Amino acid sequence: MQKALIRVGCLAVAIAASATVALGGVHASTPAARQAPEAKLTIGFVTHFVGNPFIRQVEQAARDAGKDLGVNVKIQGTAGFDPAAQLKMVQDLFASGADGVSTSITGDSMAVGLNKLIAEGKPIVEFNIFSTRVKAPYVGERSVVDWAILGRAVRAKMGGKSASGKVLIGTCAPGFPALVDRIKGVKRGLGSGLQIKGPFDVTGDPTKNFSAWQQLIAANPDAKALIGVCAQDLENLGKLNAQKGDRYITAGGDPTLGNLAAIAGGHGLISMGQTGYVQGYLPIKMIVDALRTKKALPKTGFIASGAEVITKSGVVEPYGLPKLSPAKIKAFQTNPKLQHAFYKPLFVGKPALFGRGALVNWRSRVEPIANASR
Amino acid sequence: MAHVEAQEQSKLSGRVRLGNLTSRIPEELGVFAALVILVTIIGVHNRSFVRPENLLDLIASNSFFGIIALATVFLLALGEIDLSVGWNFNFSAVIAGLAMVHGVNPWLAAGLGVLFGAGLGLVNGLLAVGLQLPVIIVTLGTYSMFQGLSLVVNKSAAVVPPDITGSFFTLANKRIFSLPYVGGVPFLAVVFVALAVVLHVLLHRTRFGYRVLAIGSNAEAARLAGIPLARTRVLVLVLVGTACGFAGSLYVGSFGSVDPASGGQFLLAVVAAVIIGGTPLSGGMGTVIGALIGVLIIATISSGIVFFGIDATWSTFVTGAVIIIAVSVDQAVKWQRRRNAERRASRTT
Repeated sequence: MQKALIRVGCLAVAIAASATVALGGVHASTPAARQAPEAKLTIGFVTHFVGNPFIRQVEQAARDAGKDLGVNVKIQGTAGFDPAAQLKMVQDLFASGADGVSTSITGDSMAVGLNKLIAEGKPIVEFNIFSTRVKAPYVGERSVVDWAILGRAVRAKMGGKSASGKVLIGTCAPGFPALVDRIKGVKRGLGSGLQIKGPFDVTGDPTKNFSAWQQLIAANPDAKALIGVCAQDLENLGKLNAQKGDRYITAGGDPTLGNLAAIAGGHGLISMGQTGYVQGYLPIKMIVDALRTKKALPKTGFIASGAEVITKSGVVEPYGLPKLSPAKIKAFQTNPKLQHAFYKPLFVGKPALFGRGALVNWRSRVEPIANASR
Repeated sequence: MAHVEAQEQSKLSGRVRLGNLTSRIPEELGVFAALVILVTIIGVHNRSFVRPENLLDLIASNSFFGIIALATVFLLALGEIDLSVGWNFNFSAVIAGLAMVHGVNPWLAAGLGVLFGAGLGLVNGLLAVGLQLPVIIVTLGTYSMFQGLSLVVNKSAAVVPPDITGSFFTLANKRIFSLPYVGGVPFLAVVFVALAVVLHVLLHRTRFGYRVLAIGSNAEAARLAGIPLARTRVLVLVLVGTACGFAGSLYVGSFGSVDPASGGQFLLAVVAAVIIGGTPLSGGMGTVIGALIGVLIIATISSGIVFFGIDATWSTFVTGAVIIIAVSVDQAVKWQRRRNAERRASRTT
């Protein structure tokens, strides 16, 4: 017991010693001290699923916003859904001197910690995934309404009002609130009279996802439509559909290269995008605007990033942006400058309802948070 | 002549005294040195990191997987691995949270969570002993079972107790022992360190601990010596389960809710912390204090990435690389100690 106490004591003393050695300039590096008029703001950006193509687009948009607005953007993220790790990253970013942070909320358990920071006056904006318990504004998709568009498109292809047959729905993260809302939207769009099965767990790993869909098809050879609510689904569904002679109506989400290829090849019907670029750019702008104008962020509220409807004929973009050709949206993935040039007009110029300047006066776009999942 | 002999004798006894002294230096010295180096490097780069408040918060916020890591030392010392710890943590937290949702006093609900975790550990233990299978194989199945049942019970949604203003939640987030120049110490950090001391004593100063180490070292010899193998295995798994339940209940108290995915990714961090701390996978040895330092190393690396502003794209690589450097420092210190010991041994002979 005594030896254990000595060991723990040694540990504490050494950490305290290294802390004391370095403590001389603590006060000089606190955010308050760095808030000199000429100081460049630093904004943290915390994501989940680092490496995911959609998340990469969001991160790139945050970087672009940083360059356009003249601020440093520090990007951090977790490999999967890890709310505790994300919360720690937000706390560390503020501790390291960040002036504001935007984060996706992968779990309600982040709420208490984030609200504590917000109560201390730290500006925080939620993006992509939100929690109604966090007292901060949210930029993301209108999950139910947007995904109802996809459900209606599938139903129309199945025969409209007279449609019948089996529809399989897959999810990569059973129970995940944002995906639950998407599924709710899909079911709403599909309407009644269809045999809707699922949601089945088709996993987030692309290889396992392929196998999961393969097995689902084997178990339900009479299915007419296959709908996945995660980014990797449509690419795999497209491959499987091609193998099966395009017997199925397939649909999924996000404009990934694989999904675009599935649609271009006629193996996929539709993919719902959630305008990731807006989800990355706008939160940075909101925080910077709030800090520079010294006008606090709203305590709650929702700004829709806008739905992108991706079909073989092209991509219908939100906020009055011009329709994109499949080739152009594909080029966005390899040339970030192209997508910057395409979306930047939304954030500059005179405030407008659509097109150039549509998101300049973002405060006028704030809706009740309930609209995000209504 | 006698004078020369006396001088030689004196030199020799001095060496022996030095040898005794160095042999008393803890095994964890190397990994501790790695931690101090890491903390210092990050602190020099950004002094906010070494603010006592920040360092204590770092310990507190990593105490959840840390508590599980401390108990996992016993399992690794047995030569076993439990893959289900993350979902045991999650399921126990969900049960504690749901009890609170249904109006059970939060303290009682937290106790229920601890017992539930212990129960899940007991299930693992009984299955491993009953089926005569390694724990890794049994928990390969219970990993998914606990996750799946947790999802069924929490209805695939976050469990949020309606009132998080009670004493249980206040204490879990409280700073106690206000110290000069340091301020309040987070309750979670105190619990974590205190538990490390208790488990260290349990492993190295009790019959139970000796039995665990003996079985991990040579199970057959331990059996012949009359050590009850099955009962010890079950007890260790119950201990790990209890730690999961305890950490899960503390999580609900600290965060005021538990998500469907909370804890799901703990496994790798738990095992990494224990191994970095100096407990070998082969069993027969274990260091709880080392695991505590291992947890702090992993926590420091994660925070250091943020403080250095390393981009998310590079952070995974950097985490792995720093772990390799940290264990290299540990190995270098151990190698040096071994060499010194060998030199001393050759001189004395």
